Amino acid sequence: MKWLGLILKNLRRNRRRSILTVLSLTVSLFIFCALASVPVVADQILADTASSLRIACHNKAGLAYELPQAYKQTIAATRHVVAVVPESWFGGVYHDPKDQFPNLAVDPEQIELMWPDWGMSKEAVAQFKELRTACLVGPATMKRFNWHVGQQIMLRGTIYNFNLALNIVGTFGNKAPPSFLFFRRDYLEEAAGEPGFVDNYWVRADQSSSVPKVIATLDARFANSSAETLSESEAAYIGGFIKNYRLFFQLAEVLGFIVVITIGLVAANTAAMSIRERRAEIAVMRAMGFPSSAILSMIVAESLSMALLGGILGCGAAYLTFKLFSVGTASMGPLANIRVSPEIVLETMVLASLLGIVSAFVPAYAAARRNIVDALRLVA
Amino acid sequence: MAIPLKYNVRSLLVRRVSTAMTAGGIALVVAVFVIVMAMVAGIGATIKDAGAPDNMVVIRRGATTETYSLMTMDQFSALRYLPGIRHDAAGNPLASPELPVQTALQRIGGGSDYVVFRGVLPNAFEVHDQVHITAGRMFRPGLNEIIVGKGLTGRYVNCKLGTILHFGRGAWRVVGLFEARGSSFESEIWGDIHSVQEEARRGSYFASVRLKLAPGTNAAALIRRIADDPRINLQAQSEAEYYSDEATVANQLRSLVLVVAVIMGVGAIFGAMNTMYAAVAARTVEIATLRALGFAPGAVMVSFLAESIVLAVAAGAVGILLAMPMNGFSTTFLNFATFSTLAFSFRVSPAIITGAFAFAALMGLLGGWLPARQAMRLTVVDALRNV
Amino acid sequence: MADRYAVDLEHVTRIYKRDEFEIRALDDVTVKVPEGHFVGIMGPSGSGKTTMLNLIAGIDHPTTGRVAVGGEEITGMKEGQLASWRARHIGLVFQFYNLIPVLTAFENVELPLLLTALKKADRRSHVQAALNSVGLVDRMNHYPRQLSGGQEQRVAIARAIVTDPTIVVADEPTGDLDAQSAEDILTLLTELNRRFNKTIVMVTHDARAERYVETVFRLDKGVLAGVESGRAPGRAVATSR
Repeated sequence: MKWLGLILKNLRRNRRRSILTVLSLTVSLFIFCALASVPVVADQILADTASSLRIACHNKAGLAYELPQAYKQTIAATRHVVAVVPESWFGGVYHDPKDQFPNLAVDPEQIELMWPDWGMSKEAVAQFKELRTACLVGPATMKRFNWHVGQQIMLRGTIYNFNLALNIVGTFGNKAPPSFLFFRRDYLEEAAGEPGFVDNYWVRADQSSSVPKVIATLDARFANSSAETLSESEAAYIGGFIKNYRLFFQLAEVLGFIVVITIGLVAANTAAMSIRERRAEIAVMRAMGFPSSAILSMIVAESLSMALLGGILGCGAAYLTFKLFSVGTASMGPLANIRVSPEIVLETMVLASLLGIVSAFVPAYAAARRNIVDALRLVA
Repeated sequence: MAIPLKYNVRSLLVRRVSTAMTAGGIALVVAVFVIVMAMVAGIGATIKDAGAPDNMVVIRRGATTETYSLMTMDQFSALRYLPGIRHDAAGNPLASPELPVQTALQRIGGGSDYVVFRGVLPNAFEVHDQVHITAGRMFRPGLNEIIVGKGLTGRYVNCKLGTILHFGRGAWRVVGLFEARGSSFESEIWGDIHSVQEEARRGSYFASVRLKLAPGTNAAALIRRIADDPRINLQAQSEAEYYSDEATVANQLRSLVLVVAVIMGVGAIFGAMNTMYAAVAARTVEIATLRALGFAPGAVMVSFLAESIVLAVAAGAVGILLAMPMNGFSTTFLNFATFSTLAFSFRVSPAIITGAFAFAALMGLLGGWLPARQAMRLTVVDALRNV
Repeated sequence: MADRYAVDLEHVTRIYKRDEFEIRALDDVTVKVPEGHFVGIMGPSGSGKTTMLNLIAGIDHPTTGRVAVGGEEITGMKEGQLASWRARHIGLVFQFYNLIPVLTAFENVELPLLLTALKKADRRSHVQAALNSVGLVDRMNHYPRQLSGGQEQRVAIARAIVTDPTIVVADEPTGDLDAQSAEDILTLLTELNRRFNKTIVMVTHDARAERYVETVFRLDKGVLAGVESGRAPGRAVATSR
């Protein structure tokens, strides 16, 4: 504790410099913490879906291509398949064309089998199966437009030239994509004039080991037909979308690296300045017989303290920022969930500590090693 | 009545280590600023350059982009003979019906991206006059022939002249390569519109019509006509406006970049303040001497401000140089509006460089302000007494 | 006696506040220095010598009383006014030379001229003349760290006279020098006084310096304890350096 007192006293010596250094470090560590949190969200989503038993079976040709609704029976009859839910993209908007969010039409019969982890209540599911115009909404979209369960809403078509009136019968829980909206595909089909096509089939396997088997079976079954399929596990499917944010993740990494260097420079500069100021003292202490290591440790400890403080403040600021920020970015889909996790805080604090120590080390080392006589001459 | 600048420059050089580290911090912030702004500028340019000043885009009412738009032959027939649309040499209206669909292409090195496969008629080349075939020839209708944009070659498998590209439901022969002055069209595959309609099973629907306006046409009147005519009932806007809306992702990115730059700048400012306070503290006798000799307090403040700004601007220049290698760097990103991948190049424009210098100078000014004020407020007597 | 005094302090008192304590650095001091005189202000440490010098140089304000230099009253002048007044009328010599380390000898001497309207060529000739009169023209491009203590002080003196000020004010000019250099400096000051009729007010506690001045004002605990005038001026002007 005496050690701590000594450190604090030395930091208070030039209070302004200590404060400015801590502030500068706080800013840099805030940015680092924020940047490091970005890819974590993606990793989190991928981790969540890694053990999923769901498979996405869509047209091999691409997004814009559809599959016949007749495939449903064939898929349902496949070995190891316990549920099939056809899904089609509606792409409607709420009021403004800018009010976009993912809205999809699904067959209601097996939704609770397909997504047991999406937190849909029994009543909501029952009503969804009962009411043709029912819809289920994710919490982010509910909050964004201030909807409540029981409300009737209108979705305006964009690729379709009609609008749909829907009744909100329930919401999704936490594990579901926060901005999704599900409604019934038979309702969509009727409004569109019964085209009979499906964008994607969700297929649930009975166990993990069956997933690759089901994928192979389905694709083989529909190969050489007019609508060949490409099946992939939910993890691969979602992973494909997330890869599109590749550029931003790379950018975040590069920025993070640069910020780290900046932190190092700031800490080193401050250490050098405080050493320069205390040259006389250090020389006298050494002349009195204090070993170099004692002096070195003192200076490094001060730098470390400031770095730690900067780290705590920086992580705190990042945490608060994302709490406030997440309110307004429902349109970013899953990325709206960026949070500062304990792992990231730990990573940031470790980085701060390392930098605090290493950056002070070089000037401290030089100061401790300087020839005593030379150093004393500087005193006089 | 000013303290000579060489005093400041030499003082900066004397405290080499401190100056270097502070300059390093500022240089990095400026480098980051330039690089990310260049990225944003590149993304914005690739989208906006697709627009021609005398062109219009016509899509379904309520649609935001071609991607979510659908229209019929009847609407097109009614539309193409409207007055105000330019005609080609043979007297045909320059109205280009188009159907862009997303199709998955394999990347060289693994993975796949969605890329736009645009179905067009030959007159598309006259409407989009920035598009030029650079190798091979134009595709012929009815055959599965395609031409491939410059942004795709070298990135995706088999995007070369003469090769067969497998995507969608069939095999397509690459008969030509085209470039489009760096715009988003370069990241597309173009083919005969009927082939695309069949491929994507759209029947006789397509997504949009591009019009080239005759000189002197009243655009607003034409837009109204297109909306009000019951046979047409579509939404028209200038390509400039259409693409600038599409580029909102670039604008949002720019705002985000500026926020990050400002935050990093604040960090650098604290660092600069630290250095300048230390400099002032080390030079109190010099400052007192200058005041005693008769230099006004204001001159002292200006001098230290200038020192801080000179340091920052020099660091800014270094930062810009550090960032320059990124100029012209080409990579891809997903355009969320059309859900397709676009190639773009980082673009360090004169405006960005000017902005970077201004940013650096601002950091120097804000970082040096309080220490310079303190230098000015020094009590000469006290400072001389400290000798 | 000249009917205009170079320095005229009338009933000057200067009180400092240090935390809760009041320090009377000068207490009701009246001093008159005729033009062209070389005078010394002497006394033990803490007697108020430097304070008095600061008041004469316009670096400090009296708490009560009047200060006039070269016939001009500076008591009520604001800081901005005082700055330009100092530039024109005062030449300063400090104990530790106070040269700007990053400027050459030439540039240091040029500094006061930057506050005038002189053009570069004119400034150059003034600086060279000043450096010439202290015998250091050949060192004009040297930095202070490349000069000896005595040489630095001579550069400082050149800086003090380059604007042809009304009075030269020197605070312990020989305090940091060895015996020989100290003698040289005092001789130089004497010569400046004789040759150019410069009024010089020197604060010192160096006994040697007493021999060079014509009048000594003795201070003790902020009070004027005595005035000794009509002393024999120092040795004859030395011609060699």
